[in-house]
Amino acid sequence: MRKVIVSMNVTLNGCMAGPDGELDWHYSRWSEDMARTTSAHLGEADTILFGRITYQAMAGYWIAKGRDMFDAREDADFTEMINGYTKIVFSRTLKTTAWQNSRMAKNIAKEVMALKRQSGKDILVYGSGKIVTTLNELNLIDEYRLWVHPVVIHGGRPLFKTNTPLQFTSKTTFDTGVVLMSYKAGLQI
Amino acid sequence: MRKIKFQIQVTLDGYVAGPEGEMDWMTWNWDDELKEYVTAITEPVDLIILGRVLAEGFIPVWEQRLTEFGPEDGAEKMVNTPKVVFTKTMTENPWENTTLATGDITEEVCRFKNQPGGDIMVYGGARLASAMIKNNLIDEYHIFVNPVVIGKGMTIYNDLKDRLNLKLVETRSFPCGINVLVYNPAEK
Repeated sequence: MRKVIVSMNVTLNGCMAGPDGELDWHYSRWSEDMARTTSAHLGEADTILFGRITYQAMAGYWIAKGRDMFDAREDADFTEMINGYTKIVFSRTLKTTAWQNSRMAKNIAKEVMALKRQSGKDILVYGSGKIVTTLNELNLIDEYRLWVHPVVIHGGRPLFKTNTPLQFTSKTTFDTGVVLMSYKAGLQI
Repeated sequence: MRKIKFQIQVTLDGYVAGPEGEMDWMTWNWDDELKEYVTAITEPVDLIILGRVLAEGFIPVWEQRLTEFGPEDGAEKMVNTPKVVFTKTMTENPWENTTLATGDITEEVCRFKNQPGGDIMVYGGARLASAMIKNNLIDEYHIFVNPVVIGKGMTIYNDLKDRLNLKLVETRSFPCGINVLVYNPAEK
């Protein structure tokens, strides 16, 4: 069955954003080798899930990127993938989806279980803390890829809300001090 | 000047204990590689700093282990290394090889740092660690990330009023599922 994989930047104290959604702690530590790894992960997927906020933040950027004819080759590959893949945004309020190959859905459980039963490549979840919480409660997440940044922020928004056992699978260390830690969800056997 | 090391068990979401101090999430079956790592970072330590709450468990448990199981697995080192226990409430010292510290944490710690000697190890608990992190007294963080998230619990970062930037020194993965992340303060 296809895997649902959550990819998220987090602080050392488990936050995915500052108290007002700030992500400045993460931009300053993003590097080219991290972008290459992200691109490789995207290459193993064909579907991306979003909440409304992350979707709206990313859609405008990538629509504009798609029209840029003078992009570096690597960036262009990433743009082609992210624009070409199926994108599903879970929202009760969003009216339209302008980003190509994207559509809205409301019932997370039904939608994601149906996707998992279909044949295909990995299903990625980018950002979207609320969607991650719901997917975790429904036991629909197969893997977490956490980009742990060397910073502690005050009063931030925690990624995890509930107790979840995990199984460590792999780790990659980057020059900016970010450690990508991957875990399978569920109990060790 | 002596180096102050801090060794702490955390969940992947950064907690050091459950809301009521629960430690049942910890990985207990350490593999030999992890035991060797811990022995290596403990070896140059000749002073242990503890908070009072942790000390009440830590000191008798290691003494009991030494009596029951002998000096292996660090028991001899833990019992024989001199300790300082920070407390605001204790007046009588029930422990051997231990002194009580009741003054200002920064002043006391700087005094130990300036004395000749080996490394100083801080094991917590949460309140002492919070105060030491807030006052930037740690030179080397050894954060043992256990393969679990608990969603809520006690942290060692509560006293921080601002962001804490760290510098990654090393990462180690161990077969039992624990990852050790080693950091220095970014500004040192």
